[in-house]
Amino acid sequence: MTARTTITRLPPGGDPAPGRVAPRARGRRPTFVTMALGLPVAFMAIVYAYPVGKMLMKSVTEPKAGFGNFTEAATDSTIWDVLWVTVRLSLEVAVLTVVLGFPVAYFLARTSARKARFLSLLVVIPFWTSILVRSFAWIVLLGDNGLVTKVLDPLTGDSQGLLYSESAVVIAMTHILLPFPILIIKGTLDQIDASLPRAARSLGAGPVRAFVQVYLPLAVPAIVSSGMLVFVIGLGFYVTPALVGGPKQSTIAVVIAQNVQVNFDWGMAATLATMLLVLATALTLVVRRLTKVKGLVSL
Amino acid sequence: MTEQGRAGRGAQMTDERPAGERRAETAGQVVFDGVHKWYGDAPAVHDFDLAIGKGEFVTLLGPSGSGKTTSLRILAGLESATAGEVYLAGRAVTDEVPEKRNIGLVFQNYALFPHMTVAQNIAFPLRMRRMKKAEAQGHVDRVLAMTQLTPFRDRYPRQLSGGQQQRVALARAFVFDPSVLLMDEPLGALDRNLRDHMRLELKSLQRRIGATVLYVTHDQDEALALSDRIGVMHQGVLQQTAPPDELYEKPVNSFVARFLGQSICLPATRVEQGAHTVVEVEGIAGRILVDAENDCSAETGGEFMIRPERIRIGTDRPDTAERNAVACTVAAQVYLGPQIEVHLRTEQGAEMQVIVPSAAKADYAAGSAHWLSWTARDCRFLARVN
Amino acid sequence: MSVPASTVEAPGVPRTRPPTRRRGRLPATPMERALHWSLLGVVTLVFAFLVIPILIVVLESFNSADYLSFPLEGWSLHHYRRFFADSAWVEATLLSARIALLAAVIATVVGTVAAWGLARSTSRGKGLVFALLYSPLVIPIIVLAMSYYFTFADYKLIGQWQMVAVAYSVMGIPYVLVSVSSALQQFDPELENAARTLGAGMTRTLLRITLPSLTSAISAGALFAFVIAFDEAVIILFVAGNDSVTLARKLWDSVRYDLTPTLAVAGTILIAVCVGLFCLSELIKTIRERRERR
Repeated sequence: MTARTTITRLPPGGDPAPGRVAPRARGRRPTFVTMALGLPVAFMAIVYAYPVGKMLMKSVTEPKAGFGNFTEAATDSTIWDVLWVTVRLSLEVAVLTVVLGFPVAYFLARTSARKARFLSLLVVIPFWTSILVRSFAWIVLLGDNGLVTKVLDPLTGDSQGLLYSESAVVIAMTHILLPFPILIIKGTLDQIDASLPRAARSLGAGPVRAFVQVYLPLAVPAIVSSGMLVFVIGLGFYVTPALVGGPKQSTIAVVIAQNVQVNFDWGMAATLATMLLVLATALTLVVRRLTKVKGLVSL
Repeated sequence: MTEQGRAGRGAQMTDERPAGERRAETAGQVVFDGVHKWYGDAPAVHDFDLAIGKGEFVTLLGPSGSGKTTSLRILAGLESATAGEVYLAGRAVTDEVPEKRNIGLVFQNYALFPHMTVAQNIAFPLRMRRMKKAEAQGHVDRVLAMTQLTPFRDRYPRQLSGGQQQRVALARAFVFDPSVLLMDEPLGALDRNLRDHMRLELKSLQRRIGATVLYVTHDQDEALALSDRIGVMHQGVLQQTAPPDELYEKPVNSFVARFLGQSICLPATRVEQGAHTVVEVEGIAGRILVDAENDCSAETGGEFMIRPERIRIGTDRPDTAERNAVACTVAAQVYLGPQIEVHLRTEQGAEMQVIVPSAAKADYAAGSAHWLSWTARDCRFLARVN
Repeated sequence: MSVPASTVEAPGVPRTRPPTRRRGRLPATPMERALHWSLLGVVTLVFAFLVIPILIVVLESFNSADYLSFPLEGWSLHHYRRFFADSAWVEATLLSARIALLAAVIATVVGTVAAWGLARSTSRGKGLVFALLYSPLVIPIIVLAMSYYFTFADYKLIGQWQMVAVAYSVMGIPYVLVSVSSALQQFDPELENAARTLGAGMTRTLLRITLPSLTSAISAGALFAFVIAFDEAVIILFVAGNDSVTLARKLWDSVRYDLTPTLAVAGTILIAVCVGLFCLSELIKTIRERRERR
């Protein structure tokens, strides 16, 4: 009887090291993927990377080549004042948004899914509304005839509005940026097992201790990262300080605009923008390092 | 209708084709010729040769990561071969894009289009071949009836059970009369009972449409039940291709023996070769006779193999000299319903199992002494492949 | 003492139902109740803080007085009539819509193509490509504004609305990218392979298999891109020139001169378009989910 078995061969391990076979010519298949990446990259290079690169170049070429703009900025005390104002405003807003946002996030995470979905709309709708319109709203509210002024009038005995003050800028920016911490922290709290605090209480912890020692530590990464995100976004704010604030609330963005529109000093505008870009990028990378901020744009 | 298409194409062929292609035509419907696949420096498929005849059902069987799915996807055009050629119906298709190959592939997770109804899914390959709507309709109705899916024609895939989805995937893969039907673990996602049922259905359908099938699975029962021939794969290498009975009776190496069915494999050395091969087996006293026909290429350092159901167990030493015999002590017996598995140990400490029908009603108490015996024809001396 | 398993009390329905424990949380202490109510109070105040300013803008647009005041002097559509009678406002609104539409189309095409490429690519440079496409989301807008201002000025592009739309599309791309990418993560790439083996070329596969599965993600991304372009109020301050005064730009200019309820009308339109589109996308999402569940 002849064996019907056709092929027998040892596996590569048993073979005396099979040399690499000569590869055949590659098919044309990857071209679609290459094009799908190449075309967007080309588009971004022309209409995004090039303008930004051009701006960066201006900081060291205008009016003359060198780092003159940077030394000038570093030695100008008004620039330092502006930087301080910007950082201070952003810091205040970051703290306020987190402090106000956490209870809301906590509430949304603990309430029924149906209610949470409806109430989330109240957070998301302001988020979708133009920053310009929301700044305008605060002009109306904080102006001399505004609602807030009228409500506060009997309390302060002061009929002057808050408009064009640091408080006004902080309030308006807080309003604009508040959705960020709410949505980010809620996203994290949703992941926390709801039975955890209850488990802690069954082990003898009071409600406050259960919350502070068990629940809060799990939320800290989200709180910190959302605060830093608000801080970074706040650094670049232009419309709100320009409309709601006075000359004393000039942020770095306001000064950049002034350099272009009033002083016609493109070099200095580019220099300040470069500084802002570097600062914001560095901080963003730190935030991303600390925690992966997810679900932010899929609001 | 497949016949007509093939004949028409065959008539146009001339002898100016490359030698490989002519060879491929005589060899079969599907031919893998020295196919290699490397992922970077890791070999996934090594020197793969296989010819499948028209209407034949061939299964690639192997553990996960053995290269069987990769080989199938190379044939489908979803992976490119690093070296070698693939022929389909006498035509080299190695560089052909998948859509030009005319193959039907049933995916492991079915890959049904979720936004199309059952009928639309099945009509898809016909529409892609620019078939008129009315004509496509006829074909769709025909395969719907064949697969008992007619009542579900307007449902969406997510509204179907696993078995129904599987049938849709199958119908979609053969409705356009592909040159070969490929199936990648098509029953893997179904539960046990349904799997056994679909296995029968699949086989009868294949017979009815006379399809050439290349099937991939890691389930040996499936492979044995369905295939005309089975190719066992291991570490990217096709170890053996043979009909199911031959594969079971005459495995070419210890990997195939171990992978298919139960076996006792013990390290062994050849000491004599003549009318019979004589081997010394680790853990068994004396010499063991193995049929010369069972000879293999391993000079020394092979393995002795026997199937547990081929061993006879008794209290006395068998008197015929033709039978190999070894004295053992029973370690345990496992009741498995139709049969009993008896675990024994030789005096030298080798472990053996024997399978006896439970109807024999014999008692194998632990510690009792028994003799195991078998003929030279039932055991083999094999190359060791782990 | 051991009892053979089969003699233990007859299995089946228990004769008496065990008393059910009261559903819900642990019994509340007075302190817990106090905490709960104060949380509710804080949350209500924050929601009021979020919503009232937006309501105020809408309410002011119906004010019958010629100046901004609260409470309203009276209800009237006077300022709407005035707004739509002023061709400058109407043209600004139409221009905003036109720019936003073009920007959304560009962003959607580029973002969708890139998302697919990233999902299918195995190259190591993938991360860099994603970073490039995603970065406009992170970069301060004033920096982008400077970049476009300098480039537009150098190439005499200031005031060209098509160019403004291109610049805005860059800001919309990250949203489309993220939206479509997450949908592609749910999409089984094997479906594309299946279509190929069934005879569909790459183009037909993408159009007939991949794209239909991404429509809701693409439209969500497109809506985002549209809204961002429709609202944008920083870049436009530098690149509008005299010819590209959008609704946001005109609102900005007017806010600095006089505060009238007409501005509130402009603001209300901006709110209505964006919130309307948002509600539309939510509606589409809900309908889709319902259909999936069917």
